[in-house]
Amino acid sequence: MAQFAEAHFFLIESVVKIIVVLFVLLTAVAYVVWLERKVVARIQSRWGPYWVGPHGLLQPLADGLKFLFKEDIVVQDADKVIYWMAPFLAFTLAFLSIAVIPFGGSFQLFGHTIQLQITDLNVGLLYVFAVTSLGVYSIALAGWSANSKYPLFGGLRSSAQMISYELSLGLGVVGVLMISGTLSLRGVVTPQVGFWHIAGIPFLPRWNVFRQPLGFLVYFIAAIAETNRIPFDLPEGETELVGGFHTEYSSFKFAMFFIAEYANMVTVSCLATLLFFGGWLGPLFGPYWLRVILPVIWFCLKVFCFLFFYIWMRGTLPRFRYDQLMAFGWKVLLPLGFLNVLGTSFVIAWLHS
Amino acid sequence: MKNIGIRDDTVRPGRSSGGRRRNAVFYFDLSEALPYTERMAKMLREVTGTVGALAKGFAVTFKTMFRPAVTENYPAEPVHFEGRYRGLHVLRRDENGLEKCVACFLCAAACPANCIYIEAAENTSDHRISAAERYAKVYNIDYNRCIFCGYCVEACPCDAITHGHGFEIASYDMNGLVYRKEQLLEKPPAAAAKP
Ligand code: SF4
Ligand code: SF4
Repeated sequence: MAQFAEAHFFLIESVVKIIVVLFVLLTAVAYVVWLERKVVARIQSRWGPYWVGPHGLLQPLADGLKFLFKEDIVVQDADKVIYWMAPFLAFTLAFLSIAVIPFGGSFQLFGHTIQLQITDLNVGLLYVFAVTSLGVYSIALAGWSANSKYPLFGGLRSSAQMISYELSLGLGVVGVLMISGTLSLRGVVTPQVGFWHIAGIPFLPRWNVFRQPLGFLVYFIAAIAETNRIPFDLPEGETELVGGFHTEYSSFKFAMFFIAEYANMVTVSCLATLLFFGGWLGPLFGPYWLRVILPVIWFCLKVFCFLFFYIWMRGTLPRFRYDQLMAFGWKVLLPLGFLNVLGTSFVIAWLHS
Repeated sequence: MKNIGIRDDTVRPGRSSGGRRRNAVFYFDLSEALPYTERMAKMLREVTGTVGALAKGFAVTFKTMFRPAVTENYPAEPVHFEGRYRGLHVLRRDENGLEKCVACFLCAAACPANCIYIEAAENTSDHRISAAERYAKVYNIDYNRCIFCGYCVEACPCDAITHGHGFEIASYDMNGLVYRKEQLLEKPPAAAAKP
């Protein structure tokens, strides 16, 4: 009987967590789009959306409605099955990886310990990488199935780009994994608790970014390339390729690519926060409920900083040329990643000897 | 692996593969006949230079974020015009409230879009519209075609036709875009309206 209740509780807990996380993520995606439009507008001395709701806050809603009501054009010679599948693939994969992202500690409820994470996989990081690297299929298939030259170019570019930068992405985090010795995203945060002291005064949180600055740089640059954001947004480079892989998509299928891109951005920012910036760690004070809420707030704040940086970068940097992109990925980023792994392993070996 | 590093856009004669111009980027030729230290120094200079440039660029965009927007909040707020803005035309009146236009057709002749249509008529002593011999009985501007070039305004010898600041002329009906004299004419001054 006790076991039965346990199973029930687990089920309810999981469903509630999934619903809440999905809701938050979708809202976050919608408002990242709003934030992007606002910030980029400010950078260009414009207003940005301001008409729908106060400060244009209802703009994402209006955009969503617009997408729903647009005519859904299917290209005549498209490979229909793949053409339909690609956006769903992109959408699903983008949302799968959030399942293992922890966004806070844990708390007690009715005698159960509830972790603020949908599921704590012991190979969480591998899982995230596996899922996000599958994302390249959606783009390649979208480019291929539309049977049109610009999407094809976009799809080809992105396959090459994502495969190249995935190596660096992986190498960037290897240093962190060596330090923490675990692939669980919860376990990765644990060694970052506390401060470094100088003469007894805490001056620097023990975040991995201070131990792995090079690793962080490699990871972050590769992550930008993986999410197809400026300055690495060649797959959709609108000036050369119209819209790249999603040129031939309209209506809600386009929206799904759009949402997937921003969801990936959020995922990558979450990962960067967890791996390098101490995840949900931050000052804790106040009563029990505040101690449960505060980590979530710290986590969201850090993720927000990353997202802001993403957008800020979009307003600042021009796009790479294709050969520059490839040369940078293979000749600069990858060697730097190797260097970092090498250096870290030497230091660890030296410390342990 | 001879080539690693940052960027070097120069093409060295005799070095390129088979005379093909290589537009090399992130391409730093380590087999160059420079001493090792100098090559490293060059590379470091490139790296620091790039980082500096990036920081500068990010600073510029960050600062711009706090500058007031140049865009105007139309339609929530009225639009601000420069004095020489070329908007909807206005046919002017003189100080006696008479129409300035004397139907000389110069504006119509100057118009590159050929969108001004005028019908002239004689003034009589009991039916005086303009101060001179003739006046424009019909004066249409077809805003389907007008390009707001201002040539008509320049051509007019009497300063009769001028550009106003009107711009909200969008219409669901092309016919609605052919403006008649009554729409273009300045309002008669209150005092001169009933002489
Ligand atoms: S502004 Fe130019 S195009 Fe328009 S009526 Fe005058 S001359 Fe013609
Ligand atoms: S508007 Fe000026 S140029 Fe045109 S007919 Fe009248 S007086 Fe002549």
